[in-house]
Amino acid sequence: MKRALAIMLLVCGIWPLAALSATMAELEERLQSLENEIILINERDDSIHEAVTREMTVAGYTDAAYIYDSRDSTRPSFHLHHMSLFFKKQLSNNWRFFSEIEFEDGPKFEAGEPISILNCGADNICGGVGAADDTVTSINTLSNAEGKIFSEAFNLDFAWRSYANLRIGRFFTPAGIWSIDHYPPFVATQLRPRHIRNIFPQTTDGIMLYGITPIANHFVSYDLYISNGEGNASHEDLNTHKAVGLRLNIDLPYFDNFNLGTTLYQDVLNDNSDKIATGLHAKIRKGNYELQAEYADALLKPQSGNNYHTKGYYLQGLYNINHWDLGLRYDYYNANNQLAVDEITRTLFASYHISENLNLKLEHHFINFEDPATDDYNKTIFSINASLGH
Amino acid sequence: MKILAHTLLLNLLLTSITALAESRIAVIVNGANTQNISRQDIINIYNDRIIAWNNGDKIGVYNLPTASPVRETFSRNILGTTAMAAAKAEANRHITNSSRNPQLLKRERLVILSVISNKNAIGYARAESVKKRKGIRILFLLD
Repeated sequence: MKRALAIMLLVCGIWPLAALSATMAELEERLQSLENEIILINERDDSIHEAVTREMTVAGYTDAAYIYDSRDSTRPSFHLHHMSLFFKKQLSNNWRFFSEIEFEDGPKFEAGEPISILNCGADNICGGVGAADDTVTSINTLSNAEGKIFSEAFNLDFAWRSYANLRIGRFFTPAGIWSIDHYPPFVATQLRPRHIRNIFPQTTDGIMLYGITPIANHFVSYDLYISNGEGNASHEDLNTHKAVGLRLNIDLPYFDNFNLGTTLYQDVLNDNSDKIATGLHAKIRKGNYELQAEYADALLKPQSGNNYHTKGYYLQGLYNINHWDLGLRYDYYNANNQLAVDEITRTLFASYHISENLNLKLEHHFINFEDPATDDYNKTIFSINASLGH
Repeated sequence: MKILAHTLLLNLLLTSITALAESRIAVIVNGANTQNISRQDIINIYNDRIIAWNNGDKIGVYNLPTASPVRETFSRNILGTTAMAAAKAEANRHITNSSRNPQLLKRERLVILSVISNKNAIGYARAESVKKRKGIRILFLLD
């Protein structure tokens, strides 16, 4: 009896231990299998990331607006102004390609009926005696063109160090704030301040050295470039002078964000006028409040006639609350200080950010002219703007 | 009766302290990262001003989706702005081709795992999610 009891106790004791040991073995096997799976997934993730990084990526932005203009000569209308595609590719660890092709106002280019052209051959005599080597070619002509297709940027970047990088090709002229941060999904209004692109050119073709470096508690960034200058896009520089420009920006550790900067630009235009432009910019953000201002002045010295200035500035205040931005802007522009051509635009705006890449904007502009011959008018724009990925 | 009241009060206090700790957000780096990192460094890293650690290694900057309440707290506490405004600034850097070190958007759990597995990573998560994790160094706790 005692023996039977002892065997029973032994069996009862060993069986759970054996079962437990079997469970532990299974668990260890399962754990090992899961670890292997994780390693495989990580490796796959790395290779996917590597592949995606090396692939050409396509991104872009688009907008649609409804515009009301108080002038009798214009009718309220829907405006499909922007549809831009960005192509980016990381070519190597240091080299990167970027391009932006803009399709403005729903462009349409349509060929007309082909027309025939008679080529008179080597003897340069058409028909008659020399007709033997005459040929006829058929060419298409453009019958209809609307909108604009524009290569706004295409360049190659060589990233060396934070403080020294190189960009070659066409790029947005580094000037102030709005010339760089100008994309509709991220700017306060569709209508830009008047002096933007009228004092510093929108784009420039050349080579640029740029970088950012910490100095004490500040970050200083610079863009120094040499280019063909205004009106000399890629094909040929129509004058022997090159434009030179510099943008400096200092990021100060005050408020939540405090940027101060200056822009310098020197060029000789194709009509041989000297142009020297200078600018100042500032952006301050504290909590929900943001203040942004730019000032720019160009001194133009024509070959004949008097020197004159083109000048403009704006001051913009913005209050951000959750998904809303509310703000106002005062904008001044004078295309020629020798003439009574001051323009003043007062703007009220509101935008609602559905996400960081999609927003709705409503803006109203009161546009006043010093010249009594030009009528003042108001403009209201309602728009939807989307940034299409990275 | 007095003892019961004291016990209840103590319990309430402890619960509140635990709840407070659990609602906090931890800014984290990999455990192998020994660099001194200030609050201003974190601002500079998340604003794309600093892109490498002192040893020259590129920083892996992990962020949470814009709608995450944890990101909202992080953005307001550290960057002084809303998560939406910070996300807009990052998207603007992408679109203007000026982003030097694009941020990696992951869910909270993946941010923690990424920081554990990547010695150059920085991220943030709820303190309660990281407090028992090995391989992580907590830089700051934010309320």
